[in-house]
Amino acid sequence: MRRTLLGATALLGVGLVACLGPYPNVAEKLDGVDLVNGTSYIALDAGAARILILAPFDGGTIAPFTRIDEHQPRAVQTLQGTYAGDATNTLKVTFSSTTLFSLPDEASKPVSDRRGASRTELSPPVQSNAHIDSSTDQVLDLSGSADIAGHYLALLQRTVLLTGTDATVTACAFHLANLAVESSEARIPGFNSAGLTQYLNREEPFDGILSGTVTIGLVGLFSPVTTNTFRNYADFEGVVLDGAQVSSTDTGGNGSLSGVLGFRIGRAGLPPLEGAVDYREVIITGGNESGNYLVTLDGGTTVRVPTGHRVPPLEQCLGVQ
Amino acid sequence: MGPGPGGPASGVAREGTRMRRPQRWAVAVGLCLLGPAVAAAHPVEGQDEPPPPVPAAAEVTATPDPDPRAGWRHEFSPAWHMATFWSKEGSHYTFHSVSIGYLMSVNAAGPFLHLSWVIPLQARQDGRVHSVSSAYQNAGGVDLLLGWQWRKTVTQEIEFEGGPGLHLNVLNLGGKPGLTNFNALQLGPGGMTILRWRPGWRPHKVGWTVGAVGALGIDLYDPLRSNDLRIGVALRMGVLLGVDLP
Repeated sequence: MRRTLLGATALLGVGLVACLGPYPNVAEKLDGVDLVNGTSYIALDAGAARILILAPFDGGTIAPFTRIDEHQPRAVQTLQGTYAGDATNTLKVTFSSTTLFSLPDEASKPVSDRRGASRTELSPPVQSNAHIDSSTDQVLDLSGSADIAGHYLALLQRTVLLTGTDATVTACAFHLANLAVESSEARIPGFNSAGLTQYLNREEPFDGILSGTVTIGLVGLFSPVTTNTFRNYADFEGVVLDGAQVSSTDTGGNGSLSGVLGFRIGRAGLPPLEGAVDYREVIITGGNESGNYLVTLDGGTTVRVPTGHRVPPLEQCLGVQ
Repeated sequence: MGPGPGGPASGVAREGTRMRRPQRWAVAVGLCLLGPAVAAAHPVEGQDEPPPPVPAAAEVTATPDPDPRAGWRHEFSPAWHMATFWSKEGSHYTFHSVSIGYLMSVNAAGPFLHLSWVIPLQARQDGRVHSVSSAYQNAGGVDLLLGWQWRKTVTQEIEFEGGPGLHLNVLNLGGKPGLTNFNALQLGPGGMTILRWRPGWRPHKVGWTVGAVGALGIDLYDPLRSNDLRIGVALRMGVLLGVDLP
């Protein structure tokens, strides 16, 4: 009975101040991600990152894939599905997308008007044809459909450029880790909107695409405290997250972040680069972040990395011209 | 000596021609939910009203029978409740529920309130059928219909009541672990009809009524869901049981 009353109160409260987006499906699963264990590639275009994860065929003709697009300051689109080669032309590949996870850029909107993260089942699947222009251990060039095309670099081969603990390397390590943080947010329905109220007084885990989980929980309707807890979480090769990110705001999205999130940056042939980000200097105004992330690499000093656009850009971090 | 102002004759003249004094809890509900409408329909007795003229004895005996349509009706109503609606994103949802309602109306023409607690049992979407208990926990809702009604007597003991109103349908289904919540807050015009039997039998001076109620809401707006609602129909059909306390 108490939970019912809480639910009714939450609904009325949210109804007064916000909208939750379109109706969900009846009995819809919260977590709808497919695990894809394969090689991760990254393509960069004017600061926007595109990550492609291709599972091996393992003797078959079809295998799962994931493509994650991340735009600055925060907008994510993740496609999942399968890809298959062409029997008559080994350079032709068809990607068939069945699920779209979307976290739109709604920084200009008040929190109450935001749609937040959502998942869409694509039926029929969206077909994207691509052509393999070149393929080596380190580079994969795909042309064709704009959904897939890009000049990709094997991620673990590029992170070897991150060595030492100076301020630039520290900021670069954080930017890579933050790609995984933002990727995770796109998969939590309602994230960055009033739709988060559905996690009131409950904890829901979401699987990483590669491994681990992120669990979200919310306490307090009118002064919500949202906790994202990462456990061995990885959406792609090269970044593993462990720790918690806590957001404490009012209903207008004004407040602050706290918590400490550890990260591990994998590097081919090198031990991982480990560090942590402390969120205590991040302010949230109207649902948007400002201030600094306090980032520390193991053995290094704490570096203030400003929120907003990545400085230095990922192109510089990963040696992509 | 004839009776003075406020004396027994005055009491006789008032009885039946004016509505029965409402119960305290009903006044509270009425004042909170209906406010001015109730006040307009039924001035509270004894508040700054000029005292009624003192009737002569002949007038007392000539007082016509009280209007059987007058007075308050407070009723309890178990009902079947169906909410079916289409979203702008192209899905069709239907929720079948049982509901337990409180129905109230005032006078031959006056305001009415139907407030029901809805317990969803079955949820359907685009042909898929789910037992609510299999996917949701703490599922519930509220159906509110507020409007203006008119009463007609069919016979001395049977009356018909009907009228238009504003409809609110709220559904809140908390998802089980791993499943999404489902909630809606739909608004639109509506209406209701009641067929009521009011026997003259009043054991211990307690009158009672039985009857049937049907109510319809056409919901057009859902502020909770970015107005994803294209159109919705909420139908409630049930029985009612009321008491008429002295």
